[in-house]
Amino acid sequence: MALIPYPDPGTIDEANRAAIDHFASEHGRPTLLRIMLSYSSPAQQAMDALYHPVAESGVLPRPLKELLFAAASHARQCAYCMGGHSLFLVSEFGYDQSAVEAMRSGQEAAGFSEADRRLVTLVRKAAAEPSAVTAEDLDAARHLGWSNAEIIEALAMACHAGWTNTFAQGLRLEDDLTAPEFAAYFLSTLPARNVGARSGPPACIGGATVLAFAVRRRPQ
Amino acid sequence: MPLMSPLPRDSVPAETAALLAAHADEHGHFAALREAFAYFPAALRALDNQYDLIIGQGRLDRGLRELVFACAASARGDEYLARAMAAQAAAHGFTGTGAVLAMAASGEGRSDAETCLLTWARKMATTPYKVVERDIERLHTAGWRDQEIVEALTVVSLSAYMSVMSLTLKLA
Repeated sequence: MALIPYPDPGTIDEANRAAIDHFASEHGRPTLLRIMLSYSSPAQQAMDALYHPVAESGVLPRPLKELLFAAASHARQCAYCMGGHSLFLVSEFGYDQSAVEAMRSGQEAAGFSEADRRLVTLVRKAAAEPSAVTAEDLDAARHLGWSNAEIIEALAMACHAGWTNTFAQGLRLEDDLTAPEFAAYFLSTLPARNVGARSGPPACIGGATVLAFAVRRRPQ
Repeated sequence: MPLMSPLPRDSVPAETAALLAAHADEHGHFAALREAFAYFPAALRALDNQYDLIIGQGRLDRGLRELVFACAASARGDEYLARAMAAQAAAHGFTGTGAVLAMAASGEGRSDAETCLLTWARKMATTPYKVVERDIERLHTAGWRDQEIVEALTVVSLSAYMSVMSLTLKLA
């Protein structure tokens, strides 16, 4: 279990419940991070506007940004965040699991360009050891065509990983890709049509992809 | 020397310029960090929003939240943000920026309970993956409740968000 008990589902207020259920309806699986954030309504509210507006705006393609987040989380050794966003790349964007695992590690993989890989390398370094990033690192990204605006957009994903990795690791959140015992927290207010209505693996358990990511959740 | 120059003033879109000005009027600190985020306005908006919520609201005393932030930044070697937030903590009930910076650097609070919280915050800032049950037990023994611990961790998490950018770009 996490180092702090999750809030009693019966005591979670409407706003926090809505945030939890919204994630479950969007992704078809639970989010233990959002449940734990119910202890702090301001932080829960902040998270609502933290990820999606940033991930869905800008000029970088959404799959690349998801990959950057997974790579940053991999570099920081956060299994919780890395697993969820790697799964998202496979189930929602159709990437091959082995390609995602390679790219998030900064290795070559089909479907990703050399320029993508350079950005991944920069973001991994910024996430794990930001003080070690040099002017040469930024120049290398620029040399492959990335503008300052695109570099900042990419670094924003490392920033976000810094946030969620710290929270998930600091409380030792369980892997919510394979945590059916938390079902009581989810989907209580959703219409039946939303339950399991998604492409990719159903709900939070059972799919081979889900289990594979769960088993391999520690960085190689 | 920062690794990236801010956007030239005349190329900042009007909406982004308004965002920058709004917060500058309000508190004015960590301006260089916000100017870096201005390259990507969606992230600047997200930064301002979460800062206002996580630092501006909550159960813990505001000055203590800012001290926790400064402590986390200091632990990472981010003197830029440690100084910015120490000044804020001083403005919200602590005695002088220098004294707050010393507390942030040493992890020594005004009471045993604060020292316990700051010691834990430093660990969460640098090696959160090393957390153990005993860390939480110590906080409980010192009187901190689960809600307060989670809230303090969201402050450390916010500081991580900001330090990744400030340390990467070598802001000062």
